[in-house]
Amino acid sequence: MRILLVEDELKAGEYLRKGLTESGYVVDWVQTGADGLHCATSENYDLIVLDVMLPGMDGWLVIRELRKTHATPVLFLTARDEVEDRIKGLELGADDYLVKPFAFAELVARIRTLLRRGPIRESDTLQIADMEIDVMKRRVTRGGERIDLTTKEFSLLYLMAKRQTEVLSRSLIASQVWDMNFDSDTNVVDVAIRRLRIKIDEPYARPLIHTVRGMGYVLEDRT
Amino acid sequence: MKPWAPRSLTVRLAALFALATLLTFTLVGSYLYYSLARQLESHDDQELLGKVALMQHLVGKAGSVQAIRDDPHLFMDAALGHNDLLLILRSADGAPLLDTQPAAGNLPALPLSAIDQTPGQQSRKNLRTSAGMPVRATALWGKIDRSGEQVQIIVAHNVSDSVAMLDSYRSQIVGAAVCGALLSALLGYVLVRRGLRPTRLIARQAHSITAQRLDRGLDVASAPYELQQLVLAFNSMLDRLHDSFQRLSQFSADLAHDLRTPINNLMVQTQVALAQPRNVEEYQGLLVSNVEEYERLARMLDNMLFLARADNAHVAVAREQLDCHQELQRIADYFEGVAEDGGVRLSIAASGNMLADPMLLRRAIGNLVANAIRYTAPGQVVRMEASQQPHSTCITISNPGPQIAEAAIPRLFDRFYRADPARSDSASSAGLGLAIVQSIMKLHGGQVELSRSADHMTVFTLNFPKPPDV
Repeated sequence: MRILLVEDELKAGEYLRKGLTESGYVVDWVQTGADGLHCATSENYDLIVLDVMLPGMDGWLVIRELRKTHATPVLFLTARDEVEDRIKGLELGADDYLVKPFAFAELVARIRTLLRRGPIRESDTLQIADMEIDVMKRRVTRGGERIDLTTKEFSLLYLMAKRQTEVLSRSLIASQVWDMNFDSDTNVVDVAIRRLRIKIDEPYARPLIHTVRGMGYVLEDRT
Repeated sequence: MKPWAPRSLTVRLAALFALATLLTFTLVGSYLYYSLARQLESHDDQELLGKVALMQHLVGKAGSVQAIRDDPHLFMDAALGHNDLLLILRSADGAPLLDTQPAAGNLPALPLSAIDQTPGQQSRKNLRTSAGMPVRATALWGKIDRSGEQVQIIVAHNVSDSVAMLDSYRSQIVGAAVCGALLSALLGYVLVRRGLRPTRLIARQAHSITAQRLDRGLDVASAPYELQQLVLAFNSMLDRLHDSFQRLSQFSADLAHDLRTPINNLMVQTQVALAQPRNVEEYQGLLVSNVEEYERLARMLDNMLFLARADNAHVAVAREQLDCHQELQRIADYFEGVAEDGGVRLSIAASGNMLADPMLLRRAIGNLVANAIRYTAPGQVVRMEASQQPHSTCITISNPGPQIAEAAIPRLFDRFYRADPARSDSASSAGLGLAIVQSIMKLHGGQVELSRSADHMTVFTLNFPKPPDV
């Protein structure tokens, strides 16, 4: 997957390229809107990460020009999040919008969502290592043993299983599982994860839920 | 302000005074002028009618027209000593018989009243002779008793004196009216200026008010009664400004302080780590600690932006019908784990629906519940309740916590305020939670209240007003 990163700030460009490359993407980084537009129209990218505030030709102009010929998905990065800005970005054809400061895990999650071809296949059962999740019956077994979960615990596990190997930030988990869309100062998510671990990981040899320090949590089979 | 009206109140009032004076003088003057004219005229008429009667008598006694022509002395005598009297006699065919003052020139033709009739108001005319003398004249037929011949009698009274008198009187009145108007304009200007002196005094006081001295206000006692309302309103506006200004200054100071602490932590921690080589775990520990600090800063910025926007009503409130119990249950589910960790139980008692923005509602209740759990001892219960009042839906979050000091209550909802200053290093709360609750309630047109219940619970009440049509 090739990503074009248009970001004028050196530090930000450096770490975004590094982070995205380590997440498995091929990243080209340019620092001006004009270069960005040139690359975007002359090469083939799967996604463009575009900063709004660029010297000379800003992000709005770039996307306006780009949309005349290309339908490449565009993810905007901006430090401004006035409602008007958001609306403007989406009207001009942006596919998503991320406000600085954002969590890196959040960025990666958004990029994955944009790059997904078609909707996620909602399968009836999910299998991770020796754990099986029956979505319809809301039943979880591990190594053949039935595990009893509360409704919210199941929602949390199901979310992580659906997006296994993705690092999920705390705010994303809070929003998806409890529909709480604000960052609270409490460690609600950490507590919930800990309680889930007691049920699905602790009795077994191989842990499936992993903490990515400073970023969030991921469900994956690390064998 | 109408385009034709001068901007100065003083000038405008002075001009109006002048106009009123001019109008009054003109009306009074006109009345006096006309009544004088009437008097003079009736005096002239008396003279005229006297002479007419005399002439009728003399003509009656004359022998014939010829006799009058031959010996006009009798008639001349009648006019003697009356320089302002013109007597003209003509025969029936209009031939002149007598003219006491030929120098005065001819008179225009006059309608002749019948014999033996006193000329009425209609037949007495104000005229000018051909020489330009203003006269009051009348004409009538006379009859010589003996011969039965008819004679035209024309009597005219010179009214130049009256006319001159009226003329000078008129110019005096005009002069007086103009002078009076000017005088009252001048007086009005001076008096109004004096009368408005308190406003200039108030303006001078207002000039000395600056951002640092907003609390000075204007002196109500020195203001005249009519301006006291204005001064009081102005002062209360100043008080509100002063209050906001104080809060804003306090907010800036708190903000700087609250940013200083975490940034200092980040800087020093990182510098200490860099001072000598460390092992990987230590570096990772430092980075994780930094990320936590950064996340806190980001949260704080988010909350501050939210507050700033809510203040300027830039936050869209998308109201929906929500089930109270369901909403409280959702939040209880969210905090369930945290509460259990603290040994705190959450109880819910709620009924009915309410109209609110779900995102904002959850944020407000979430902040209160997080606080309640934080301050509740293990084994205790945090109560979440919703009840329907006639005009509002009340949501209360109560917990048996330590009593909040009376002094702290008014400031509790201020930004960055913490009832316990020593908690300023608390990693969990930036001190914006309650300020956000208050902002959200304002956006909904409701309010948040803090009280102490009979069973020693700290109770936060959210009042969501019901729309009038429900």
